[in-house]
Amino acid sequence: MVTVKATDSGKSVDDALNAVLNNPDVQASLVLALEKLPMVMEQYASIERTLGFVTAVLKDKESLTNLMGGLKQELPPVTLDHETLVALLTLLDKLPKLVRYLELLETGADFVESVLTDKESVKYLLDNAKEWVEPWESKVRQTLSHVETARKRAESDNTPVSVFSLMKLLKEPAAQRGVHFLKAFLEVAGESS
Amino acid sequence: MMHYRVVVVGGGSGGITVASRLLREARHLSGQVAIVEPATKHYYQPLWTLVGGGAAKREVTEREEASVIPEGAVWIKDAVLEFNPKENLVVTAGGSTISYDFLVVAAGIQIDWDKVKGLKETIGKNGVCSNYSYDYVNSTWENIRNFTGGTAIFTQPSTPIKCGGAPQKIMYLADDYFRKSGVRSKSKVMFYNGGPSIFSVKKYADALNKVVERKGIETHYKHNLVAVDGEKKQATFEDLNTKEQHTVQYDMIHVTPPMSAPDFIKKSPLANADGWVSVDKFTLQHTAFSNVFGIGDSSSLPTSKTGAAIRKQAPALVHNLLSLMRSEPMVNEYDGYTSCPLVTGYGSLILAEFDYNLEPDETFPFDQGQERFSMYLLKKEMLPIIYWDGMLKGLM
Repeated sequence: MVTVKATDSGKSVDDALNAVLNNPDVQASLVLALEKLPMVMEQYASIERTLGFVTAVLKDKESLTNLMGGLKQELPPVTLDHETLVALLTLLDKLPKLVRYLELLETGADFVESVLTDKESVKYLLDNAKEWVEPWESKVRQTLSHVETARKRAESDNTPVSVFSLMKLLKEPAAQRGVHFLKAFLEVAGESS
Repeated sequence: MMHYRVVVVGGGSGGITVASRLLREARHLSGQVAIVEPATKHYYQPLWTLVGGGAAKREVTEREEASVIPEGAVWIKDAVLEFNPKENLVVTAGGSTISYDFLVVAAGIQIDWDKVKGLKETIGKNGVCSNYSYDYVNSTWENIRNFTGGTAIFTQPSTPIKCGGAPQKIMYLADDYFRKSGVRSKSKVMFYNGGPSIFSVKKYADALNKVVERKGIETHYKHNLVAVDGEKKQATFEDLNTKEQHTVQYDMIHVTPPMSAPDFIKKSPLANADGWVSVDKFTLQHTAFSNVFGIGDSSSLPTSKTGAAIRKQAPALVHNLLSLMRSEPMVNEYDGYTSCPLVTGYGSLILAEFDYNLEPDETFPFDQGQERFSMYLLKKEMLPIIYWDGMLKGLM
């Protein structure tokens, strides 16, 4: 490595420069630098043009106003302050976990959509639901019809209720079962007390 | 010659599920995934047990194959004839040659009707029925419904079959129906199984042995059906220990036919000694050709061959395939999960779920070894929807 010592006299500077320029390494570097000079100048000019454009835009208040106005219209109003930035960074940190949940949610939503848009599946579910409900439905309907018929008969029956008719009623199997159950229940209740 | 980034052989449960998942997880593969499948119809076969038992309609199990091909996949309506994995080529019956970067084999299982003498000639008539074909499944219900008493035989071969529990499910439904129709007291129900026990997992085997005992079913293990004489209504069985044969008179017989790997797989360089696509049981990658994967019934995976197993195999396969595409290590492993919803009657079911170690791997927070109405509802009402709209769409 060549070092140049600053001296007060011009002679010593010349000597030092000569010494440097006589160094073959320095000479080779200078040749290389000169060779690359056009390319460096081209890049420099490009940077200068870009800076010029940025400076021109920044000076052009009209363009800047239009640009900011346009952005305000296109984007939702955002207040970029310290709090927003901290929240943004926290969100970025949580993103891997959130994406996992979102994927699950997306799968679930896609499945629901897939079922609802699948006419054959919807028909299958509805037909089978009907199959399960139908026996209960007909049983309920039958019971209601029995109740209605009994109500009508009772309303039209004006004959007085005698002891004989009560005895006849007690012989009915349904009444017998009820009485037997009542009897057994009272016995069990008596035993436990 | 056609070229695709991924070629999937088979458009059944495995092929469609893999293609859907691939296209969901790597949308850039749209148009570069081909499914080679000659059939124009797609079936939800798990429901055939209930169809045979008269608890579901056959028609709801059938859909157009075109309706299940995922968006972004190309359907090549042809059958594969030959594999040339060294050259990354498959040759079809139609004479086309298709080249690929990655191959997924999901060719299903082959039903060997002709391995039982006389079966092909008499299936669907003379009291001989089977749930293992869309064409014959209605004959099972016809036989059960019209059974007026006598001997009803249900068989299971010693070969691997699709859904190992299915041969006994239809027997339990038949028994239940015979009781309802008042003919059970004058009937004999017999179960001839080529295997050594009622079920391979002890927990469920214990529960099923109780069901068999309660129902008064006569069991014969290590017996294969070898011949059926429809005219004489006679079935011939071979004792697998002694090799002795004996003939039984029947009034109805439900046959689960022997099954094996599809012939075009058996004779290919992809097959192992038993004819199945030789894959690593954890990664599902082929043991010799790294850009080939296998899934489902046609693979060598040592687990029960069910749709539920495919549901768990597909995510592992797809993740490993995508990792391979990106030159990343394959870290996804399939643990052998499989499930068998064992219908034990109209409205009762034991939901068996287990892994490679034959250890229960249950989903619900209750004892699935018990017969439950809720699980029956799950099989009949929910699983078909999960299949069509979840699994085949690559969502579940």
